[in-house]
Amino acid sequence: MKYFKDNREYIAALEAAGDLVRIRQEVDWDMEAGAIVRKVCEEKAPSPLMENIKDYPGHSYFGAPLATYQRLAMVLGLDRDTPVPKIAEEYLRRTSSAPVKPRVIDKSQAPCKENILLGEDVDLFKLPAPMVHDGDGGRYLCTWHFVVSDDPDVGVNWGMYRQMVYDSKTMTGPVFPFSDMGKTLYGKYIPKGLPMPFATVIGPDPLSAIASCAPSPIPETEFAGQLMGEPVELVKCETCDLYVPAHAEIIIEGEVLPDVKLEECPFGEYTGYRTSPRDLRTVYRVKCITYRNNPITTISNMGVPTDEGQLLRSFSLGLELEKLLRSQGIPITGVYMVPESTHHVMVVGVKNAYTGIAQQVASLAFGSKLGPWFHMVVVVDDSVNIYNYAEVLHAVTTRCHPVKGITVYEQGVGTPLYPFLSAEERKWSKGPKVLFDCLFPLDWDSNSETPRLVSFKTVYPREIQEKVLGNWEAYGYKNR
Amino acid sequence: MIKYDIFVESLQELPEGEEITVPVRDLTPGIHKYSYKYVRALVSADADRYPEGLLIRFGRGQEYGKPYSMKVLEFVERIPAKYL
Ligand SMILES: Cc1cc2nc3c(=O)[nH]c(=O)nc-3n(C[C@H](O)[C@H](O)[C@H](O)COP(=O)(O)O)c2cc1C
Repeated sequence: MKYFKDNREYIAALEAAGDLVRIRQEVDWDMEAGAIVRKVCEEKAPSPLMENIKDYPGHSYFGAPLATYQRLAMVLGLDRDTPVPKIAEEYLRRTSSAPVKPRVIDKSQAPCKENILLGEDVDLFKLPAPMVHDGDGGRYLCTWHFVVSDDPDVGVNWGMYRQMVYDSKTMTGPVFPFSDMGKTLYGKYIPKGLPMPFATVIGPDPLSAIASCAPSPIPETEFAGQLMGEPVELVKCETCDLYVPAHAEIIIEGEVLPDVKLEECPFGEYTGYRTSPRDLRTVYRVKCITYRNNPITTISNMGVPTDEGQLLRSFSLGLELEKLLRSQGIPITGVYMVPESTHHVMVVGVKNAYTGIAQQVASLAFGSKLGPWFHMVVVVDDSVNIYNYAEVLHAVTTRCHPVKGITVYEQGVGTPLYPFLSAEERKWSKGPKVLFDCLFPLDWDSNSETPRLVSFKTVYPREIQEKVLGNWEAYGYKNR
Repeated sequence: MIKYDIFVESLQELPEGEEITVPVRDLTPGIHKYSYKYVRALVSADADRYPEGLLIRFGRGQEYGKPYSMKVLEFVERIPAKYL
């Protein structure tokens, strides 16, 4: 299978496809770079490669690495214009194959070891952490990256958990208790007062980045291998026993401290707001930095849609939920999570085979590991194209009974990031949820009671449809 | 020149002329801009009372238009010595 081993190969391919702009004039790390990436996301413009960063000669920024479906199609080896359902098919095909164990390579072959800073030389401010948005609590070095940790019982985890530079040797960030790293940290290290080794990977190759923010039960090292079709190449850290992708741009090694918390936030978040409160958060103390020559720092700028967090998390959350529902034998026709909903709305297509199917879908979805990240499930039947917003909205506004069709789940797991929650609800990560059941009840008489959808495809006999389609241009219309 | 800024939920967190211990960000231009320092300090709503300028931001990053001033009495280390 075709894939990009590092961002350098990917950048070259984007450039060849006309989807990259090289910015050679000086760009300020203090908001200007962030503003460029934000505008790029809002306009779906080509990814920027900023080659001249103020105060940081030799460094570059690669912004909005995966903020469009065209880029996602490319990194999965597909034609850039592949429709979303086909990209989904490819993702499902690759991630349903056997997991592929990683391969460890020698340090001498690992580009991420080209430069090594240890001891007194370690200073996070030697890296061009951008001030992504005006008003952020600090410089977020880690917005498109992942954190490697190792659970003594479960094994290695890669997770994309944002990190802000606090001082020369310290970063802070939110690690939610329901996240994989959260379970290891709060469940196994903090109770024993032990520091937890971590390694942050900045500028990972695109498929490893996707693996790190996908909510899959398969270990991310093997999940990345599934996506690539061959083992991801890892190399051992300098100061601990963790392994990191050898072709990444920058690696930050250190320990998560069990007994200190420091301020983090506010930050422009994936919902399109600065919501989660400034709080005392997890502390990452840094011992070592390794990096490639002329390192390229990745920047994702979260805000109003569409950035890669929204796009990829919607994509993988939807498809992992699809796998879960299918594994339970529920007759679904597909799942689509709408990126513009900032992965808050899950649209599920079903065969309306039995009463209560929508409730079954919603209970499973909200009750799953994925549940904290969304709060609306819309269930439609197979007459609705789940990828077509207009059809979905039409179903919600015409088939969902305002009393019987809406089920509110008052208690659920949420995150502090939901803009509509009260301060108290955010503090405790409470997550109320809602189901919109857009299925006509099966106990209605289908001949006399159930409304009939009035569309070209549903209310004309096949021969009339074929006749009209056959004559369309003859009538004077253009075929689209 | 403004040297530091601070995030507060309310201005009451900055009592006039009283000693407080708070995290501030160093705004000195250069690569270390926005690095955090934990300081024992005196603050004032009068921008000229103390030697350093102090900008104020609220909980979601909004700037409070009027600068305060601050006198740093001590830089405090919050990371336990065993990790330094
Ligand atoms: C750009 C970006 C930033 C994220 N930041 C955080 C974060 O700070 N904390 C967190 O728990 N999850 C964060 N997430 C979500 C996790 O990456 C996501 O839940 C991932 O699947 C890791 O899940 P796991 O901990 O369940 O393995 C972020 C996702 C993206 C795309």
